[in-house]
Amino acid sequence: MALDESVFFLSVRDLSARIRAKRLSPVALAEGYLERLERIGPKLGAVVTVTRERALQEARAAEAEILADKWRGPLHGIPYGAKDLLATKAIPTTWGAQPFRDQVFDYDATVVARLREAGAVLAGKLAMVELAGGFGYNNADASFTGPGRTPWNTNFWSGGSSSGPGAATAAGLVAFSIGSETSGSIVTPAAFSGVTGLRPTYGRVSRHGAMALCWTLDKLGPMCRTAEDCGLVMAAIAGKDPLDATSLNRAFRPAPASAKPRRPRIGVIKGTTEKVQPEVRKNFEESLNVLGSFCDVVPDVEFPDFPYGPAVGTIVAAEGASAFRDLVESGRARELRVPNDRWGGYAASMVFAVDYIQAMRLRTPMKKALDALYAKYDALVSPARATVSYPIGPDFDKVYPGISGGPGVIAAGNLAGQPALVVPNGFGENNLPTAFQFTGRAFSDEALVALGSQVQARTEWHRKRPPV
Amino acid sequence: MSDSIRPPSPSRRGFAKSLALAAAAPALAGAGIALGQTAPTPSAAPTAVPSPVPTPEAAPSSVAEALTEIVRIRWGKNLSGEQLGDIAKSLDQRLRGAEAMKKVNLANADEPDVVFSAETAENAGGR
Repeated sequence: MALDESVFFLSVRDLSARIRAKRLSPVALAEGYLERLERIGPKLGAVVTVTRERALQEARAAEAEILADKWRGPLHGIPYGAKDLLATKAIPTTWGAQPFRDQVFDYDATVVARLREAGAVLAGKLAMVELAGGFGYNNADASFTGPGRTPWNTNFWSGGSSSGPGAATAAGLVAFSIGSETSGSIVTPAAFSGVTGLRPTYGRVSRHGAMALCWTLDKLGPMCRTAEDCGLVMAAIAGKDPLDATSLNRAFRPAPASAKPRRPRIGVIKGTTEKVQPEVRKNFEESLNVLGSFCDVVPDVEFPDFPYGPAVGTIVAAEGASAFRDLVESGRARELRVPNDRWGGYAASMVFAVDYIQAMRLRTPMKKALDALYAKYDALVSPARATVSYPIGPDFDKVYPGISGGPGVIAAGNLAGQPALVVPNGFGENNLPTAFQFTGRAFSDEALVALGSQVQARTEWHRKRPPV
Repeated sequence: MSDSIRPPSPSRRGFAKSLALAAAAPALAGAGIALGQTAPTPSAAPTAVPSPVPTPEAAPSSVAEALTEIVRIRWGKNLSGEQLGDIAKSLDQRLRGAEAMKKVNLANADEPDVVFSAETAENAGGR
């Protein structure tokens, strides 16, 4: 018997409880998600490859183990999707780009291997902006699979560069997904798709087997329905990996549910709401009211003033041009989807070495200043994005003139390697979701997840279902 | 796309013309885009009050033009004149970003935030 549609929108925590109690078959759940990936995925431009055979194999194995009372943990039997920059053995890994459409690796990325070890079921490889956006795309139609569409209004973008993970998670095509962020690529699709996303502290999750765009900025992280689910996924994927020298021996240990911490202190970053869309501001102010019910909220926190945008742009350009030097110099960049991406790699190749080094030197005072500020708070908050999503069609710079999010919170957090948690907080223009973000000190991932869970215990936005 | 229909490499004169045209054209790339961000900036044109009449864009600096000429010499066979014009604008923007980065005071001893190690997987921990 087919599962009720509402099952596909349950949290990992709820699905897991049913699976563990043997009230929900992992095979039936996988079949249901696979059917949705195949039926709805193409309408959203969310899927590159449905991994049906592997998913059913993993689901059957999970079911057999659980029936034999061998429960591996909360991800056992849970179907998920991986952004298509994660290597998966014998399954194409396209990086969202035409020149790599036929690329197949003979191993699994560490994240995929760890999820398999945790009993999760790989249901699909999810769409993404070509090469994770490293060459400067300026339009939603930026993948060989076409534009990712947010399920709340399919005339609009699901965000990038983790466009598929955002759309697929929001539309109940997978229970959770793995995205990546170099500078904004989890935060943006989480906000535009209305899901909860965690950009982990740099180094907490191994990138072995992930496409490299920018070695000193790339991070992998979960995109889920709830903050708690982000913690469950992090617990499975975080930690040292000998195959990634930047990975750290810092396991993710969620705060116990029974813990009653002191009243958290939350700062509101000054200048982040003046020029945002009115609905973004209104919803953010309502989020502050929710936070005020269990936190001390400090307004108008000055954000350190540094050239975050130029620094992150210089670093992404220089490292990206090196990572894709063969593609650029071969001339095959002309096969990329977005006109900007066809020449962006050549411009990036002209970054002066001294400018790259200057940007890397600036990261130390930036980190120091940001850490000194964040040390005074449990987290800072700001709107995740200044606007709702962009329409499919026009270039981004033509859409919302005069709108600004103020200080470069996304660029700063990425340069400093800090975590961010995106939490849906309502709807704006064209029935499109809005969100706010917690940002915190490096290694405060657990604290951000706990704060997000407390917000979601008091709100219903994360339970809303899109019209798909 | 096959090589046979690849646009021809622009000549130096054609390239100079494309730069002039690019300077007069509306911007194709916003600040964040030209800076290579992986997600778009909140607005590519974060001005408080949008200008009712588009103003012509300033021509790329001579340094940007010179760098674009290097691009043309090295990879011009892969690029059209219009693309070289876009590259000139992008490089101009990046050079302005580099100037902004230079304004932050750094001491001689302030190292890049990358630590080189002589250690390898093989020699780690000594013998």
